[in-house]
Amino acid sequence: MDKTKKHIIKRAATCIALILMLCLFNQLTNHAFFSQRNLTMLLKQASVLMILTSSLMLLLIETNIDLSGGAGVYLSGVICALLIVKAGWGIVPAIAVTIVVGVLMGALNGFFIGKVGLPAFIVTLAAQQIFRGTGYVMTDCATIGPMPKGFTAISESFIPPMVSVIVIAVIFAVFAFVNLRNYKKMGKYYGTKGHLIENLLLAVIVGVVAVWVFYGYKGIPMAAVIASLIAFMSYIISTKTAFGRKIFLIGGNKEASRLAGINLEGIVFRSYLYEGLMYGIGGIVLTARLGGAASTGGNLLELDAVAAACIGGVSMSGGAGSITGCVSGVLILTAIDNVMSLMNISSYLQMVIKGIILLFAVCLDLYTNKAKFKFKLKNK
Amino acid sequence: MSEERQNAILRIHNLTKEFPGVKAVSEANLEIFGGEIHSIVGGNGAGKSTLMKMLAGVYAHNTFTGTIELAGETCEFKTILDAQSKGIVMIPQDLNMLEELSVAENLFMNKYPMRRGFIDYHKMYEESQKIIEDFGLDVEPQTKVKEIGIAQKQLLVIARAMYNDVKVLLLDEPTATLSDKECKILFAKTKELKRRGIACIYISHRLEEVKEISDIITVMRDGHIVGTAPNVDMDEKRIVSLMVGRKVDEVYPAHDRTPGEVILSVKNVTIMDQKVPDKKIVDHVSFDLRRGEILSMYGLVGAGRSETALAIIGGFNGEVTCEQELKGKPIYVTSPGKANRYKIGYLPEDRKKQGVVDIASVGRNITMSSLEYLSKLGFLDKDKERDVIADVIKRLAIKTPSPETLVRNMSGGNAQKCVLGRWIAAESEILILDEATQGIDVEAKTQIYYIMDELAKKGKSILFISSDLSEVMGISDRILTMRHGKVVNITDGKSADKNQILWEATVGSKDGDEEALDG
Repeated sequence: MDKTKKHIIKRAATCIALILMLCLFNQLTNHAFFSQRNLTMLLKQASVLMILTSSLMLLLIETNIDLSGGAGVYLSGVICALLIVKAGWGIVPAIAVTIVVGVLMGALNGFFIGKVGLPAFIVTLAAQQIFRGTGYVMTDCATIGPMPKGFTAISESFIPPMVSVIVIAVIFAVFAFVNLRNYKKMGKYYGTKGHLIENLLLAVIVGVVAVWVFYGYKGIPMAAVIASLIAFMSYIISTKTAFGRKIFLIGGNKEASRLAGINLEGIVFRSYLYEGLMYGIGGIVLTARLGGAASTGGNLLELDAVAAACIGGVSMSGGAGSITGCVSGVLILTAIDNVMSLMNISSYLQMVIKGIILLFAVCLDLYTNKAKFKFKLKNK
Repeated sequence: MSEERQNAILRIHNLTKEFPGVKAVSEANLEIFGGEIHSIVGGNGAGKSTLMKMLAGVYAHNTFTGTIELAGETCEFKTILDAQSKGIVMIPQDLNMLEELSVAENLFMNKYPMRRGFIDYHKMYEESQKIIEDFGLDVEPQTKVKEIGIAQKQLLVIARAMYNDVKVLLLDEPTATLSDKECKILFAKTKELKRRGIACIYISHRLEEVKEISDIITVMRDGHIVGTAPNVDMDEKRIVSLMVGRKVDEVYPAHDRTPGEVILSVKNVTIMDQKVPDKKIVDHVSFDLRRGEILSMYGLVGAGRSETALAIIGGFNGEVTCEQELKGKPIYVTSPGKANRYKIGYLPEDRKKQGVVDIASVGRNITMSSLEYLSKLGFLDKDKERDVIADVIKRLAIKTPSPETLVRNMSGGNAQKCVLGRWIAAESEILILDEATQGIDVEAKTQIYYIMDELAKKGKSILFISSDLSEVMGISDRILTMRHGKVVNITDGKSADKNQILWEATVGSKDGDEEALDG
């Protein structure tokens, strides 16, 4: 009883804080923040970060890290742009090759970290230099563009408003159905009735807001569709597959997992392959959104991804994290960016503020999970 | 009560400590006298360690109720240092030593001999040498602590406490990681403390050693002190029945198994020491394991038993030569994952570090070795998984409110059952259990013995690694004794002679006495 009460209070507090924050944003930006147009832009802005964060989450959970994310996305984008603009390839083959190259970049990281056993921090730091450097060499640091209309549509087109509403309704129906079925079938394993109501209520709120935003402007932006699909894929991997389960176990206790027969090398290698896949997809979406591959593309994206995951409650000591947390982390971070831009804060000052917010988020996390944290310290 | 026992050096009155939801210790009253060794025994979660932590200042005085009186004076400790300055020193289970500093620097921590404002290393090393010799330790004062073994560290910590001004020494499971020889040194030293009038409070799971060294024995159960009596009035049966709250007739299951044909044949396991050239940690170890057999591997700490086990499952970090035959066919086990596919499971020695994933749930710990057959095309079959988990929890009588409970909230015995259950879920045919009963309470131990017996009767083969001779005698079909990386002898479990085995494991060897000396 005590636990559920605490849980409700915690949830309510989070909601109130979120609403207050959004109101504050709206106030600060002279009501520009809460416009349908701005929220649509925000989602577009968030998409590349979302793509990268959803795979970085898996790496963080298994106590690895990736510092080469931004550079990987940049290099993928460059290759895609070069193939289309300079070599005159078709869009589909260019995309396929880009994705393959991204996966190969992931394989490079995965080989040295998983199979050779070098520390992830060092390997991905080196990879960051290699990827970005390769991109610069290939382009002479110039922007490659412009991309054809058919290509930019990957990010810039919209699902028409009416169709968007139908899509949202279908997703909501499936979500409600799955939840109700699980609640009936699994009984106590699912959680209490309150848990069910909470989930459905949350879905209704998100659904209503989504309908308002997308119906009121141009519909769902394609970049957001791709990001949502990637996030959903990561959700499935982290909760429904043996691969995802093993990642959590490895993050919880590496040695115990090894002795229990889990193939550490293979799992780590595969998780970097997945990260590499996201380099490819992220690079394509980024290039489509910018209409070309610029030399600053993906700059510091890897650190934003770490920050978003951290704000979203992914444990930096491994073994814990969820995709819902990552999604909210990404949205919060992007919303802050968006608000600061609307307020005309200089980009230098924006960095300072983002740093402070990250520190604050980690402190808050530590405070709310104090008992957990103490325990971890003790074990070390 | 004799004259000198009238003034207790330490008197505790109505000590009660509550954690959310549980009373870890409730209304404990005790009197501890100088020059006495007072043992406190009890199952896991009985409240022994909590009681010790209150006495040693680990829990500040305002976090519990009741009074602690040291030499007639009421004490309110805020920190460990407060307690230490009053003369109550605790030797914890996990030793806090500065690994990068030398033995001497650790011995004189906080109290370095000074000369003109600088540390007088010459004096410090000289005095350390005396202490080291006094304790019969095999280290140099300049040796870094990280380079010496756990047992020696333990003795060092005790030495450090002894040479500071200590009135009450609290020893929490000091022998858990010691060999018999090191235990003897420890006991001798404890008895010396006794002559100096120091009171010792001694916590242990091992009843034999409690009987050996104690003057007074106190038994705790569920946070209560359920009995205190002089050693002569407390026989092992009475202690055990107080600990579990009922009479225990049979700790070990009856010996009525009939092992079948050879399942696993291990030949010439050899592991070189990576630090010392030409030294072998394990030297040509060969043995057969039969269907439905419990084969115990007995030996002292450092005899190479865990290393042999790791070599068998392909989990040793380093170079290994090992030939194996499973049901007559040669197999090459290069990783624990491969061992799992051959249906060989390993329960590691160090439960916390190598056994459980403590931030994961009971259920996830149980199924972590069977995820392959619990999934189709990589997707987990959650219904099947739930059934397997429920089945294992029921079969092993794991006490948990729900399969979702995190393992870190469970007692040692139940956590160990989760690791054991992992291999039952994986349907292993061969189980290698490395110190499976270490650090868990008597009741859980007994349950594990009965589970082992049941598994063996169902045709599973068990290699049971243990340093506890009485359990080895109680459970085995055959006993393999190891010493210095070699198999000394393999005997029949029923007809084995306890003294003979102990002698073989400690000093005796077929290869002559040369090696016995360098041990």
